[in-house]
Amino acid sequence: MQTQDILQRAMSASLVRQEVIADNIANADTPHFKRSEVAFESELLRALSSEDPHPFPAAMTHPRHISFSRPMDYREVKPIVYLDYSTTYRNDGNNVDIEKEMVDARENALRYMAMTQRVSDNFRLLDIVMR
Amino acid sequence: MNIASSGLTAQRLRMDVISNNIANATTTRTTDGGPFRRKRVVLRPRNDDLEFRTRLLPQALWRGIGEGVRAIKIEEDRSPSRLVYDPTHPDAIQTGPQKGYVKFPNVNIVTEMVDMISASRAYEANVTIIQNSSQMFMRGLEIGRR
Repeated sequence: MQTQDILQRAMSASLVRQEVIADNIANADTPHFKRSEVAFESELLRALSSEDPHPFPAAMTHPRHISFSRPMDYREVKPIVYLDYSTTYRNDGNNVDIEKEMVDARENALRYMAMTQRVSDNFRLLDIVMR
Repeated sequence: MNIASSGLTAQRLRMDVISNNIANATTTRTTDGGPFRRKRVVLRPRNDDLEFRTRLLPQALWRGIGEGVRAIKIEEDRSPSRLVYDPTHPDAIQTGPQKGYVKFPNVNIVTEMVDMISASRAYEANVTIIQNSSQMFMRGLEIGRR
């Protein structure tokens, strides 16, 4: 059921990203507007790969020693919205590139659809097992 | 979807203002006196808080999800009017060094056309986002359906 949980979290992040992209596009002609982005997948990957089943053990001979690997809980990873304030795309200080946003939106939607498909398939498997 | 619809509203308003500019491209007399002046829409993000943003920059970088766009006002373009020599025109200037000239609106049709294309493209982009989101929601509703 961990897969289901991760998928569900990734889907919420996807919805957040869709909103952020919609906001970027709605403000594509607003002077001095700076676009935002959502960071989630990279953090999730970091959290998941930190749960190494066979970690290289550190010899901890003192209570204040620090272990090599500190497992992160993937449930604490939240989608982070950050402002891309350092670039300028147009004369009026706006940095929304409509083409990029459209491609991002489409990719995000497809990713979301793929995840819904996985969630459905998992439920179907569960259904088969229960019969 | 709400955010994209705010974009639609804003672009529609821009379109209306541009149409008004083009329709009045040769209006030489208005109720305020003088020729028509070009209007333009001022857009701002809906959750814009410039004061806060400039004073506390680190917090400003984390501003959460935006809430779309809104048109805060329709501003007049204050650039000078175009002068055309036409002494027979009823609104021609009667006295002074500019005698015989008519003040035409500061509307440049080419600028308006370019703005119009930009507004309609932005409108289309917002429509596409709405379609995209609704497709996502429909798929979300299909979870668990056989």
